[in-house]
Amino acid sequence: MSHIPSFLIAVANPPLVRYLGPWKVLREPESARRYCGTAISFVSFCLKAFSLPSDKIPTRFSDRQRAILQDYQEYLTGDFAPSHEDVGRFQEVLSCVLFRDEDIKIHVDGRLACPVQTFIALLSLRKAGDFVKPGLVTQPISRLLYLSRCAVLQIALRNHGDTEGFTR
Amino acid sequence: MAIGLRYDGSLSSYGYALNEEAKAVICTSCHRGVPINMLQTHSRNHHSGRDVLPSEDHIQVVQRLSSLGYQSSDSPKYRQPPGQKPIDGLEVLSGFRCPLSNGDGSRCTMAFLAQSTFIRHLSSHPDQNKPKPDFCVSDVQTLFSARHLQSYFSVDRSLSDLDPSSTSAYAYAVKMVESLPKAKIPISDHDKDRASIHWFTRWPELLQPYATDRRSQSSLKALVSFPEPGSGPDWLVKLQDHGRRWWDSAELAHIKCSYRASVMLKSHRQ
Repeated sequence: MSHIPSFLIAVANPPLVRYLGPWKVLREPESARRYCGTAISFVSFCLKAFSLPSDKIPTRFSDRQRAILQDYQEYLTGDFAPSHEDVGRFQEVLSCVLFRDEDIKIHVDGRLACPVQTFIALLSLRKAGDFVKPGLVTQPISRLLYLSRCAVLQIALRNHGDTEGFTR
Repeated sequence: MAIGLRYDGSLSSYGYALNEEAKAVICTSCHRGVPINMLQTHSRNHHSGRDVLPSEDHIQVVQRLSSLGYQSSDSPKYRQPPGQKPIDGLEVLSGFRCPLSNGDGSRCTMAFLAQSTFIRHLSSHPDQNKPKPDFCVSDVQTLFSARHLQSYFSVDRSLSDLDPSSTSAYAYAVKMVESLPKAKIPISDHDKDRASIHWFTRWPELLQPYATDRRSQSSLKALVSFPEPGSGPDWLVKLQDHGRRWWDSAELAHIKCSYRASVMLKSHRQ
């Protein structure tokens, strides 16, 4: 699998595959709201951030990411009726900001180059300017990790060439 | 007037300070005296990872300090009369001081760290009553801790005129702390293990230019907050709709995926 987000290498080891009981697709509504909310917040953050002047936001997007974000923003602001294309576009944006095509240094020019890490850092910032306890930082990381796996799974299911090992 | 440690520019970067009173080089990490001809050896053997004085510099340092009378491994064992203040920079240990007199009537000045050694020493005063060790407890120091160089002497801690806040060691520590790059974004004092992740990620340092005041911090926080449709542009409504439908499709995708992949995904749920 080539889709390994760079930030995950630093923050988490590959999970142990273990038996966790019967598989249930639906989870508690509150938990689902948080995971879904993280996906929406993250894409929202990227859309807001990439349109800001570079000195106003402590992160950096690649040219490809900027192109996809620009395209999606035009799609959102355009007068398009809801269609099945919406989910695919959201998936495309989420994948492009979760995964990068090229290796990057996390710290570039004194700022966080990785949007994912910037997102986590800003989530860890309290209103007073303090940082939350390090233990609480794992929650957004865990959700992003799960979302990244969902995104990979979606790609695999869409591209039948990659489904081996994923589908029944 | 206290004569404290002097942090010589060329030596302080290698972890050593000079005590001009005792004419000794003292390691600022382990608070022990180091013979001037063993500075490299001490760093290598006791402080791996610390910069070692280069050989050419070491020769010059030895020449310069030996001309000033600093202690080397060939110097006579350093001792000072009992009842004096501690030597700045050396650790003060709890030991024993001999209270007996010598045969010529002079006071015995010997001091010891170990009780067994002290009791053995008392036998060298055969014609005097042996005091109980508990009554002979004293603060002691030794300039060098190597076995063949150590020589303990008694000190009186109460005579120390080195107020911690006035010592050169304290001033040096303050100077060093002030010279460190500061985490301008304050980290909560409640977080005991805050240092590791913030030092590793450098978040406080890298976010500082963008969070100079409360308003900037609030605008940064607003970037990552959940986009409420009423408080933002209209496209956020569409974005939320797209996100929810994507999530539903991702959930449905789990039904299609294999049991092994499902378990891998589930292991990341909280």
